[in-house]
Amino acid sequence: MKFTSITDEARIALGGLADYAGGLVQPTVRLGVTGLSRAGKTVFITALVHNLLHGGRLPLFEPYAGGRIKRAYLQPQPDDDIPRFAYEDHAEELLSGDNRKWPSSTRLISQLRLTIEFEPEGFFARNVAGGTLNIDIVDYPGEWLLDLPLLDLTYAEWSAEALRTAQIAPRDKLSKAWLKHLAELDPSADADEAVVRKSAEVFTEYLAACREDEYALSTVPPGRFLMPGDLEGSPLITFAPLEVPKDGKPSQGSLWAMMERRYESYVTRVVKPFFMNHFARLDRKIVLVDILAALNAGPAAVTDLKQALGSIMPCFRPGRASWLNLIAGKKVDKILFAATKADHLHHTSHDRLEAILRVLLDEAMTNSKSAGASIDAAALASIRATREVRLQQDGEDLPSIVGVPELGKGSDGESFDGKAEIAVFPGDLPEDPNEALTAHNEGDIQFLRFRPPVLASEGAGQEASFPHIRLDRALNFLLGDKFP
Amino acid sequence: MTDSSPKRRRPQVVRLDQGPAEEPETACAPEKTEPKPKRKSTPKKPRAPRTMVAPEPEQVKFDDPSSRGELALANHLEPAAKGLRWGSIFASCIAALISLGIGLWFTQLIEDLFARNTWLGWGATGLMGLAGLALLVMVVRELTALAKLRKLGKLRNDAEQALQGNKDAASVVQKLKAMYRGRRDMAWQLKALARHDGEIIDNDDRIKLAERELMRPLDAEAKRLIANAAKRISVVTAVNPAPALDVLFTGFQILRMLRQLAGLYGGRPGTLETISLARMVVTHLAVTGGMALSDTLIQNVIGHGLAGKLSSKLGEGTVNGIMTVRIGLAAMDLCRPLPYAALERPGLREFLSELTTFGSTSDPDEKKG
Repeated sequence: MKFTSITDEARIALGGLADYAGGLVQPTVRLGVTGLSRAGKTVFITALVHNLLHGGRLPLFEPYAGGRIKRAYLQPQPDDDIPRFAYEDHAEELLSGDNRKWPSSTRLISQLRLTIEFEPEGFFARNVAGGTLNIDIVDYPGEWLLDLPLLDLTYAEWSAEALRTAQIAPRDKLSKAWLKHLAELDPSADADEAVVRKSAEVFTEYLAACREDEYALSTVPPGRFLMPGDLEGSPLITFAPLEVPKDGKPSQGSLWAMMERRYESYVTRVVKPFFMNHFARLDRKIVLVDILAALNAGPAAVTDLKQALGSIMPCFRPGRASWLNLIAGKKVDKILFAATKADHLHHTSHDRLEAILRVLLDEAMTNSKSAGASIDAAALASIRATREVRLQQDGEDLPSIVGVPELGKGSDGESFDGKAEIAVFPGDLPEDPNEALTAHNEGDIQFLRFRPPVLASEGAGQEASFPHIRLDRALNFLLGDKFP
Repeated sequence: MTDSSPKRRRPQVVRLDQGPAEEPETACAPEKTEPKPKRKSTPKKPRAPRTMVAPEPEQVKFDDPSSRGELALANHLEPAAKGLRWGSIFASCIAALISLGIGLWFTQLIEDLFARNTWLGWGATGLMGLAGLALLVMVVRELTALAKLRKLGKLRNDAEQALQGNKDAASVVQKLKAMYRGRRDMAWQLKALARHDGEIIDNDDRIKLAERELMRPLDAEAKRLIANAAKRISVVTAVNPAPALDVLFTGFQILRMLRQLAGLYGGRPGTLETISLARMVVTHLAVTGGMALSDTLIQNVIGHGLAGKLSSKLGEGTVNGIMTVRIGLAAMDLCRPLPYAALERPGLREFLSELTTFGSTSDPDEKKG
C-alpha cells in the first residue's frame, strides 16, 4: 500500500529537515498519541501533563526519579492555526470533587507544547547543549484515524468495501435502513443535491448506530461523518457510497460523478493534509487501544477492532532513526502499543490483556520491528480509577477491583448512583488470547465505567497527583533517552 | 467456549456498604494481598472510619550524609571498643620489637638474643607471643562477626529470578526490607520505597526500583570503604621496610574491609563464595610478600640508591592498592543482596585517582562531574 507519492515523500523530507535544523537549537520531540475513538487519548495527555507539571509519582521514569528534572511548563503551541489542547479545562473536569467526570470526546484537533528543563548528564549535553526539551503533543478525534486508509482507495473501491462490511454480522442488522435507501438510488441518474444530502444522512445514522456500546464497533470511514469538527455541514462531507462497478466510469453530471468528485476532494483536501501535517512528522508514537470495550461487546467487536487497526498500521512510518532520515523523511523509531483502562482489571490479569493486545497487533508489530523501530506493549491506565481487593465468594478467592461506577445502569440492570463504591470481579480473561477473537458466551466478561478518582494529597507539602498504572514506564520508553 | 483450561469465573458485582470512609486496602505486596473477607449475602458490620496517627518526627532520625567520616559510621560497622586495646598492644609490641633493631626475621632476632643473654631472649619471646596472641584474637573476632551475618546468596538468586520474571518480586522486596528494618541509616530509603507499595509495577521493574532506592547509598558507602582500605594499604606498604609486617598489615586490613562491607550490606557471602574470596586474598598476600621480599633482594643487587628505593616502593604500594580494590569489588559483588540491574557496577577506574593521590579521604564519586 502506498500512501504517499514521490512528491509527498519529498515534502515530508523537507519538513523533516526543517525539524532537524530547529532541533539543533531547541530539541523537540513530536509525540504522536494515536488511537481510535474513546481509547483514552485525551486522558493520557492530560495525565501526562499533570504528572509532569505537578510532580506526580513516576518512579520508573528515570530522569524524573533521578531528580534531574528541574521544572516543566506549558508553552504556546508551535502551529498557530491549530487550537491549543484545553488542558486546563480537562484537568478541572477531572479534579472537581463531586462533579468530577471524564473529558468528553475530542471534537477538534488540538496541540500542546510542554517544555521540560532538566540537568544534563552527558559531557556534550552539559557543555554544549542546554537542558531543555520540548514535547509537542497532538490530540485529535480518533474517528479521523480511520480516514487514513482512504488515501489508497478510489471511490468505487471504497463503496464496495463499505457495502461488503455492511452486509456482514453484526452490522447487517444496523445497516438495513441504509441498504434499503441505497437500493432505491440509481447511480447514473442526474445529480441532485437533496438526494446526496439524504444519502449522507442515512449513511451517517448507520455509522452512529455501529458505535453504540452494545456493539462497540470501530467506525467505517470516513470518520469525519461522526466527528465533523470544523466541517459541520460542509459539502466536503456530504457524500455516501453507491453501488457502482469497480472499473466503470461515471457519466458526466450523474449522481455517481458528483459523489466521486466529493469523495476525491475529501481525500485531497481533508485527509491528505491531516496525514502530511501530523502523521508524517512524528518522532515517537504511542498507540492506545481500548480492548476492554470490544471484549465487553463480544468477539465480533474484537475481530472488527483487529481489522481496523490492521488497516491503519501501514500509514505509521516505523524505522530506525538515522541520518538517512534527513533525505528520506522522519521515521518513528519507538512505538508503544498500550491497552488502556487497565485499572478495570486486577493486576493479575494484565499479562493476559497484553497477550490479547499482541494478538490484535501481531502483524503491525512484526512490520514495525522489521523496519527497525523498537516497540513495546503494555497494559496501561493513565488515570487509575480503582483499587484492588480480594472478594471471598463461596469459598473462592476472587481478585477484584473497587471503584465508583458512573451514574446509570449496568448490564445486569443494576443501577448505580454515581456515589457509592462497588466491588467488581470482572471475570477471567481467556488464557489463550486467540479465544478473544472466537465465539464465547456473552457475559463472560463485564466491565463497568468508573468515575475518575478523588485525588488525595500524599502528605504535608506534597501536591496531589493522579494515580496511574505504568504511565511512568511508558514515558520512560518513549522519552527516557531524550534526556541526555 | 472452552472450560478445559482453568475454568472461567463469572463476573460479580458487590456493593460495599461501608460508604466512602472505608480504609483503603494497601496492596503492599501485590501478589499476597491480605485477603479481606467480604461476604456478599450477609450484612456487613460497618467499620468506623479510622485515621492513622502520623509517627512522631523524633522516632525517625535521618542519617546526615554531610557528617560522614570514620567516626560517624553507624554502630553496626565498628567492633566494640574493647578491640582497640588489643590493637594498641599489638602496635606497641611491634614497636618494641622494631626498636630492638628489626630488619631481620623475628626468629633470627631471638636466636641472636639468646646467644647473647638468656633473659633477653626469654623477654623477646614473651613479647612476641603476646603480640601473636593479640593478633590471633583480633582475627578471630573479625571472623566470628562475619559468621554471625546471614548468608545472602539465596536472596540474590531470588532477585535474579524475579528479574527474569520467574519469581514474584514483592516477596523479595519484603525480605530486603525486613533485613534493613532496624537500621537508622536506611530509614529514609525504606520510607521512600514504601511509597510505591500500593502501585502496580512489573516484577523486574520492582526489583530495579528497590535496587535504586536501597542500594545506591550503600554502594556509595562501600566504595568509600574500599577506597580508604586501598589507600591505607598502599601507603603503609610503600613505606614499610619489613615484608612480614607488610603481609600481616595487609591481611588484617583486608579482613577488616570485608567485615565492614558485609556489615554494611547486612549479610555475608555463602561458604563457597567465601572460599573463592579467601583464595583471592591469599594470592594478594603472596604477591605483597613476594614484592616486599624481592624488593629487598633487588635493593641488594642494584644498590641502595634513594631514587631507586623510593620509586620501587611507591610502585609496590600502588600495586597493593589495586589488588585491594579488586578484592573489595569482588566482595561487594558477593555481599550485595541484589544483582546489578539498575545501577552500574563500579570499576577499577573509579578508584585509580584515589590510589595515586595521598593524604585525603575523599569520596570516589565526587570526582565525577
